[in-house]
Amino acid sequence: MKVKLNINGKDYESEIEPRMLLVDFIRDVAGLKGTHVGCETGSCGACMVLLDGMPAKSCLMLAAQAQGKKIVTIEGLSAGGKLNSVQRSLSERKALQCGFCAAGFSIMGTWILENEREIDYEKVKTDLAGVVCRCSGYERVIDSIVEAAKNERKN
Amino acid sequence: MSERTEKFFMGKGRFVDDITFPDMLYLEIVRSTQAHARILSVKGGLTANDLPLNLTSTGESYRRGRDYEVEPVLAKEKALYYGQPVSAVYDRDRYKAKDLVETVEISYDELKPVLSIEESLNSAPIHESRKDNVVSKFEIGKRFSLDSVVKLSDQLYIERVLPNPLETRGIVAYYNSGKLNVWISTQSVYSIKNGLTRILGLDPSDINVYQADTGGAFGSKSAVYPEYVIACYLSMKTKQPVKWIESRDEHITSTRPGRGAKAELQIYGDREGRIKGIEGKIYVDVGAYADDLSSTSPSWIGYQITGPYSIENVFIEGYSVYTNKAPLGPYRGAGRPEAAFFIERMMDMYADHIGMDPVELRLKNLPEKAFESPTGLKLLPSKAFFEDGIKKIGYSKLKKKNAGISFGILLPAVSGGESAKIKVENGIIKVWLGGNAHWQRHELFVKRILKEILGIPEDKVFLMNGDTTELQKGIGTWGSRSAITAGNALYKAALLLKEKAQKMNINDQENLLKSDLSSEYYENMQLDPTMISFLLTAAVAEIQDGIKPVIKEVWAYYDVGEPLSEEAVYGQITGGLLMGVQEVLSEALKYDSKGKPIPETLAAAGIAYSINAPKYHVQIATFGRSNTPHGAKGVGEAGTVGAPPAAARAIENLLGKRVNRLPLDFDLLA
Repeated sequence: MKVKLNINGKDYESEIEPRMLLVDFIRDVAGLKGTHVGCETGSCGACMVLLDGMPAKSCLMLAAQAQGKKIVTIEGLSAGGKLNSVQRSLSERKALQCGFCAAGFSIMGTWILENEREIDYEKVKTDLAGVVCRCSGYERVIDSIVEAAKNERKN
Repeated sequence: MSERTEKFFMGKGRFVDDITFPDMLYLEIVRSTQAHARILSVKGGLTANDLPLNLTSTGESYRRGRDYEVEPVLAKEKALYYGQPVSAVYDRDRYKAKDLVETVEISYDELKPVLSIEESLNSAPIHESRKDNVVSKFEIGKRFSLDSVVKLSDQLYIERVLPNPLETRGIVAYYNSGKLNVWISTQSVYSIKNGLTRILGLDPSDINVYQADTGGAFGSKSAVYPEYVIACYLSMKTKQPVKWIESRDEHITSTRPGRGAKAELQIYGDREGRIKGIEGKIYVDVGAYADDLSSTSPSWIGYQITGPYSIENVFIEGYSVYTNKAPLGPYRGAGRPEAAFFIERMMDMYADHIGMDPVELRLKNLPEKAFESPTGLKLLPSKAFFEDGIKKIGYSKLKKKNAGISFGILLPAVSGGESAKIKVENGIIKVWLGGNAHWQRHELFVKRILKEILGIPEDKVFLMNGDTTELQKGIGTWGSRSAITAGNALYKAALLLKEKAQKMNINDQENLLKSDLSSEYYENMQLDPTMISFLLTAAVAEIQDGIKPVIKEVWAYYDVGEPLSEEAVYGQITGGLLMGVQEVLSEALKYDSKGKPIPETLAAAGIAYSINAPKYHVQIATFGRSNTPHGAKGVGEAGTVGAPPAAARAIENLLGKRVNRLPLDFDLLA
């Protein structure tokens, strides 16, 4: 079947098998490798994208289901080669180690900053419950997102 | 690009699944759906009959004259664990390759699986050429007999645990113009290169191994696995690039898990809390096949069974045994957490029995002067460290809560030493280490050492991924060894580079960066008591939602020697603590009665999510420098050694029931 997906503001049109997962379209058709496959069952969040502004696990849906929606991947968060405020904060605090989870925390952190009101440690800790970091113990990840929110409010 | 992980935020990491070539074949493995069975026939795919004889997967380590069974690349007459590779299929299309798995027909004659240490000792051998299921036996320490007033025994058990790095295993193999090129997610390109060279019968100059960005490992990415051999073999046969990426369910059934250890221990002491001796048996379930590491695991646990204490009498019999489960591998700590859990749980039992405070009991048994245990473990006196730590973590207040405390040691795996290479190129400095980082933050100590010795600013220093064409010899990153061994090699390589520069009258960093100088250094190392870290860990438990015991807070007062980078050390400690706590609460690889792994997803394996994270109180301490030029000690496994016994004790206090199994037994909650 033919699908046209809008990823990071750009249209990608391709003939695909109906069963193709969104994450495979993003990685193998659009060639955007920052979205990862960690678990294939929605347990880890390494494949997270924003779908019309909402966080979604791209390993759990078909590419065809995303037609007509605006898809933002991790590459779309650093427009013009500049990290967004959540990513900068994660980077400066050296919150991540192996880096495989970068898409999950960047996407979820960005959503938190844009959508949550009272952003504190406990709120972020709960919101991140679907994204796995196997390396860090989470504390610095949570701190980074809380700090990014504080800085945003100041500006 | 001052912060290395920036590239990951740009989506520009290069993990192994990000590497593609035109005409690449996707390899998929057809696995046994039986834990123990005779294979009657295999129809379809590449089978054991198609492979050259003697293609085996020799595991992480290999010893000539070995006396254990190594894993074949593909099972031939018998399948010995659920998930064992039996056949291989491939296609240019990833989805079609997965479809092909379904077309392979395997018929089995089911046999009763051997699934526990007890069953293993009492069952017919799963390897028919052997007389029983014992892989190896050890006697550690010296037999003794004591007439002590206090004599206590218990059985302790740690379930198998999966490493579950966020990125699963994977390889791209490309045999091109007579050379085999391998890109792989790994802890050591050298372990992979040496293993593949030997298994495939290649000349070392005909194989190059490149480390892709590696998304975590925790022990699981150092061994040479069957899938790697098949991918290389297939590429050599077809002359096409071949990619194999492990799925999460394959990780659960077929990647080597860790732990799976049992102890039957007896301790002897007096009423005043002075421990006189420890004896007993330690068993390790190595699964269906063994390697040097798994087969010697009971002896390594026994070697450090005294923890930081001066126990004069030690006698341990160790057994590693075969079962119908995936072969055992190292998991963060690899033997150290087992020893710590065993001795610390016995210390708490002893304290309770004589009615003494567990901390007072522990302090009483620390050596007053340098001590060598009957197993040969050499320790420096550590009383000052632990007394200090007890104050620093505020033990007097914790005592009133449901708290647990553990005293521990961390033995770094320094043997073999390590290598490092420094190369000035186009105004920057590139560094390769024999231990291939997966961003446990090795780059931070690399930058610090080069700044200290060569005066090079941190933003000009880049730690490169492992590459056997750049640095020929190396060991790997595991066993809390990198800061000590790779740090030592880098320090000395930097001194060499400095010497070269001075000979050429280059005395400032500006001109050094304009040069094309390089240096390389390798040094073997031996474990020395100054390299052993001391660990003080505490945990507080609470009941959540009226039913579930959780760990609310954790304290770590850890000796890291000279801290090369507090940021790197901090993240390693909190990450390790969470894994350690989770191993007590829920993380485990259990099997059903037919030998099939029970968890089917990452979540079901019981790993920790953000909501499971306790509050951390980490204090980085320096209790003397290690006997190395830079003074560092190890840290990577500290949390997984310290947290389990502390968390187990906290929960024991909370529930009022003895905790002698990990993870927690649900019966305790009844």
